[in-house]
Amino acid sequence: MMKDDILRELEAVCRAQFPKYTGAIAGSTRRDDIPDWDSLRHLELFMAIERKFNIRFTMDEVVRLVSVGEIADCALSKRLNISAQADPA
Amino acid sequence: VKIALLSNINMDPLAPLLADRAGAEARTAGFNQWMAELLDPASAIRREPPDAVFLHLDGEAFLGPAFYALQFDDASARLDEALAAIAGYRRAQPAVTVVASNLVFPSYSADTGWAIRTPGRSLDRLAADWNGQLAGAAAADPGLLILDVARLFRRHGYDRLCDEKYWYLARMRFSGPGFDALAAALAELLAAHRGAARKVLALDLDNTLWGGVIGEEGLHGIILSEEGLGKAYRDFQWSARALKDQGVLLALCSKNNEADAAEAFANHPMMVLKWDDFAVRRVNWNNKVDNLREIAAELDLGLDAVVFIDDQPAERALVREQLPEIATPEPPSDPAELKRWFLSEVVPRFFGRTALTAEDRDKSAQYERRARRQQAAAGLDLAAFIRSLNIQLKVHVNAGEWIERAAQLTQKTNQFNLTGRRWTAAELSALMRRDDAALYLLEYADKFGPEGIVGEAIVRIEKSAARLDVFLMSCRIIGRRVEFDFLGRVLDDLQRRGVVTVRAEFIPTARNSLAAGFLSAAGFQPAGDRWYEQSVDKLREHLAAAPAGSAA
Repeated sequence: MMKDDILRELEAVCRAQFPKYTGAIAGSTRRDDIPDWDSLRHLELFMAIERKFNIRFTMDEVVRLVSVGEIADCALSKRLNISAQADPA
Repeated sequence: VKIALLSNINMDPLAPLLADRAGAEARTAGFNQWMAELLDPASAIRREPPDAVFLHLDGEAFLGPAFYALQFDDASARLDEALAAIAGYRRAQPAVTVVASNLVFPSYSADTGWAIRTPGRSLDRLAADWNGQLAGAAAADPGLLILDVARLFRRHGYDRLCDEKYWYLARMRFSGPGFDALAAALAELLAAHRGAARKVLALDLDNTLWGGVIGEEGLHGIILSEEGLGKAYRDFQWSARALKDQGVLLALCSKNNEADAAEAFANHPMMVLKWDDFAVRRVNWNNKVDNLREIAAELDLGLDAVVFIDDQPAERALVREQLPEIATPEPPSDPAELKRWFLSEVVPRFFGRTALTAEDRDKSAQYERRARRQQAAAGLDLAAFIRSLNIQLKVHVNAGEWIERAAQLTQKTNQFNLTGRRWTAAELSALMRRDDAALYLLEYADKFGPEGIVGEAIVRIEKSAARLDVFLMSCRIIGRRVEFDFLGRVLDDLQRRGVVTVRAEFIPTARNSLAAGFLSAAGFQPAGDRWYEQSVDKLREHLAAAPAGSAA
């Protein structure tokens, strides 16, 4: 899975989470850009991403990651980690 | 529906999930305000009662420091107050359904091993006591339901359904998958309470109720036993029977010879389900879409009342495409998972019910009585029914184009079959070349459409005497007196060939009792063991006096 794939799927998760927001959603999109992205929605967004990619963020990551690009990088590294463990070769 | 969410922890993420899953308008009360909401006459759920109130008490949060100290005197007293608060709200708002989670403790505990066997110090005992009291209250109050969160945790695991970081970030206990599972379970429970459960479980046979193919492996070749995979199928049968005992109607929808299937149910020592456990049976070689339609029609239920279980992907795809109202869930590829899948996924989703009535327990018998009544009523008006069908018959004599069908009919027709003699296509083609024999095929259509070749007679002719070697009718048109018309047409042709008398025999087989009375009813006289005889003239006279099926 490449970063572009992750970004595409993240966009879909964000669209479902913030249905009122009609602007562009890309790696550079930040929490401040989306009015509905409050603290509760922030947690729900991470829960949705964890469900979608079957990963778990740390508490620190949930607090620290505030842009779609940062979340994508972190999610990608976790997915790659899982793949590496599943397939040592 | 409007649902109020009460809890001692933060359940905010549940609201949007319930909206998605149940179309519910869910609102969370203020954090940890559950007791005040229930008791205060000025609270939101008292002033503007919702349709349902969901109360979820988190075990660890409820205990606080006592969770570590393993001292529960204070907690027990507060749990009693919680029960009293639920009862008080139910009295004040009898129209509002209250759903309470049972109490669950985490996968971890400060007990190093001794507390579980020490009275007053055991978390398990505390949960069991509280859950027992809650169950007692629910038993006495039809408006109080229990969401079995304990079972949800047994199924998915506490560590998967909960996520510590959300606890420390926002006093939320559940993980993303946890909130999702909770929302699904609550939506299912509320749907069950509204009576949304489906009513019919339609089951395939081969590789669903037993392993293997009965038509090929035979009675003793199928996999159904107390060992290995045989036990997996047996346990699945126990599961289906449990549903039947809870008011679900069982139906058979299978491509088999009905006799093979019936024999398996009658004679296989490991069979849990019995032939009569099924309110409707469609064991034949017809399209399953048609059979499922018939099953629903015979039970007078909509297609959306039916759940269909079949191991064959092609059958499932066909039913899903043509009958999307029927629920056709995806069984596991490993039959070892069949029972677990059925009980943990299919049953809660489609057959959930929050109460079991005497009527539920009597459901199957009720349908059996109803079917008998319908048959009796239909018998009163049979002639009118037959006339309304506008039946059109065509008889083909020695017609080579249907020789495969003619052979198949002798091989597959068991019930309305006077002699049970089997013929191959090759034998039939040889027969048709003879002067002293004739093959008659009956083509049937009515206002609902053509049924094709549904009757067959093979006649041996010796000068002025004829003998019926084969006389059979497909089961699906029996009951419309078409068999008498067919015989009449055969006699017409025989008379043209100079035949004066006809002999016929009835050879009883295991499955042809349906045809036992036919020869007498048609005007034949008994002539020794199994044999019947009559003149063509007398037979035609008799048949002309009887009400005929076809108009033409």
